[in-house]
Amino acid sequence: MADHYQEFQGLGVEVIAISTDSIYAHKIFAQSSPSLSKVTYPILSDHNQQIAQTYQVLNKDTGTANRAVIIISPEGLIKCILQYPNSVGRSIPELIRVIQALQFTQGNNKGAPANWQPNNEGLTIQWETVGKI
Amino acid sequence: MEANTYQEGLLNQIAPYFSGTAYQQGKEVTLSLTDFRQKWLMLFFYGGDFTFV
Repeated sequence: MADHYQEFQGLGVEVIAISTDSIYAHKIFAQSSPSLSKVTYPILSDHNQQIAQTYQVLNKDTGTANRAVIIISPEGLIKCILQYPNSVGRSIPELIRVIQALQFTQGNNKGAPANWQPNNEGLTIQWETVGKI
Repeated sequence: MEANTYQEGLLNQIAPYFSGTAYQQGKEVTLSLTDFRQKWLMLFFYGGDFTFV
């Protein structure tokens, strides 16, 4: 993620990493390897699990957060929720695609259909296109 | 009947407020959701430090 932060910043996206670890664990973690020491975005401590619970990504058996991504719009609305099983990592290209698609569809009456990419025109959402997607 | 309590999904809902302490570039900082008003924000939940993200 640290390697891709600039791409998100380029899209005007702020990032917060969150786990239920203490801030002290975060400090040791962040300072433990050269790649992590590059991280400039905040690593939030959700030690009482409140945030993970509120955002419905808490694994109650382990008291830890599931691997999850929540995308919040400038208006403060939750626009995307992704949750992964323990054994599967995230796809950064997909996150970037979702952000670009959200930004593309915001403020126009268009939709970004399956496999939309930034060079696609998108679909105008109107009666005539119903059933043709 | 009570077992079937419907839990409303969060998609397109107002993001619930949160605040807390964070580690950022060697420092302890306090942040909250309101610090990110008018910006796209991505919350990156992960299981624990020293696991893969």
